[in-house]
Amino acid sequence: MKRHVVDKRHDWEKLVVSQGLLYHTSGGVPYWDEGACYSFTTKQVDHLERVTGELWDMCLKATAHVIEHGRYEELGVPSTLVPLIEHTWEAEPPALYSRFDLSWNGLDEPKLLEFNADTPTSLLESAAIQWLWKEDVFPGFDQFNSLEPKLVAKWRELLGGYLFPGAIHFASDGAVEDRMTVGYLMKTAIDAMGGGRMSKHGGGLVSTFRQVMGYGDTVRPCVEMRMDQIGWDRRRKLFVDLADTTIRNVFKLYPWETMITQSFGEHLTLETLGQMHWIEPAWKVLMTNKGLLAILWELFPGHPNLLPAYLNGPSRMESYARKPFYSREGQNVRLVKGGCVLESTAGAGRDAGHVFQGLALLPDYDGNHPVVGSWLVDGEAAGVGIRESEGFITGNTSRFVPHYIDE
Amino acid sequence: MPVRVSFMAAFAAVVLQGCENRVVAHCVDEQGVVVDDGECAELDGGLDAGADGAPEREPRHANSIIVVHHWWYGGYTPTGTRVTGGSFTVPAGVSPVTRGGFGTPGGAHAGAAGE
Repeated sequence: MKRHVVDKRHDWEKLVVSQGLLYHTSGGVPYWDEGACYSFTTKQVDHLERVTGELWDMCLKATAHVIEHGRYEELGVPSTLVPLIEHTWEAEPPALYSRFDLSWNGLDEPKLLEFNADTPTSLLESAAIQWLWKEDVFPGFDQFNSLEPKLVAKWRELLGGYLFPGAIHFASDGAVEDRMTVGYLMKTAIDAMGGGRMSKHGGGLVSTFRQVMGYGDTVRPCVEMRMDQIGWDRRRKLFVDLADTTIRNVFKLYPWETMITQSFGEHLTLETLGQMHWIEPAWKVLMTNKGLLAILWELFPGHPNLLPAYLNGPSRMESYARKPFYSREGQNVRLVKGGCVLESTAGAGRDAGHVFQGLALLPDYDGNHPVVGSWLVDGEAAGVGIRESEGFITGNTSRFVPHYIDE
Repeated sequence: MPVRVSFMAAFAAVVLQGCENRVVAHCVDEQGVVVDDGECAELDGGLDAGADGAPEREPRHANSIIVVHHWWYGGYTPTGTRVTGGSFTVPAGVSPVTRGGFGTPGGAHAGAAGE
């Protein structure tokens, strides 16, 4: 895996904005950085694909283990979430995508740092923006990136009978980046339906599309909205959108462990789950819980792609990363090396417990430390997105750097 | 005995709710004190009121005390406070839908949602 300094495209800001990347720079600090890129060999990509598939299988087994043995309290899982987790694990409602974060230099074995299975972001830049960059800058080369076709194919499968009739809603907390992430997923759903026309409605987007699936034409709207716009109809006892239309299928870019503690959390019951699909389903909260890293190490000790990890302390490790179970975007992480704090971050978050993971510092490329994000759609490896920073903890402001396949 | 709520707590709740002029539905006990909506959960939000317009829950027994709850419609009133004015019949145009139970109004993003 090599890092290269490259020329930025002329008027790159206008270009990426026109492609949907409204948040290419934040507070004067670049987020999308096309002044550099990484390259992989085909052999490295093949290896990464195999490792991704193997890690997914292990995570499924670890999740099954937690459920079978009821190890929820150890992982700080709210008790109110447990029935939803168990129901969705058995019922297998639609699930869409996730992302492993790996420490890898292309030479040693990739090491799993964490699994983002409930609300992964950087999707637009991984799936579309970096592909379009590659087409402009390295048109004769390939890229490890099949996110878009895999997402469209998955939506097509879901539309073929796994979704409830009616609209598909796409909800986020309203931040620009999150809206663009759900907007991109909405686009892939629309593509699966063969396109359509869009109109603006009440601050969000309402798209009306014809779904041609061989069953005759039906209209299935796609509606973008904020999480706080979701309504609870106390008479009909179900969730509704701004038009008071029943929500039957909703993709939410919002954490389950937060939803369950909010005032509408009491309406997240098996009754409402029986009437609607939340994507990603509730069982994904176990996969995204960093405590699962300790379960993985317990079940697969010594695996070459895992780091030692423990729940109740660092065990005998003098160098480790302490991560909250529900940390996101590198918040509240502490890196300890040889017993001394190397780096730490602050941030909000639920204090549900911590995992202590053996320290695997990100590789150094002239002071830049990349984390390799390996994407999955429906459990299959679908591409890579790389984020780098000067520090060793990847956070919200870490830069996204594109890649290509060199040979 | 009615529960006293400090003026600042009530004022902050009203500001957060932003509903000084809105009609809201509260579940109240037989003393007219606002209680958790769950006590009226089996009532139809008062929207399909009975003949007398004042739907009430089947009396239940809690430690030998019979407790009756009603939906009441008026201005915002904090839990534990006795309501005044308003009505036990559903005003025209009152929606059974409430919002804001999920999410962070304003959408401030501090990495709390994405990963």
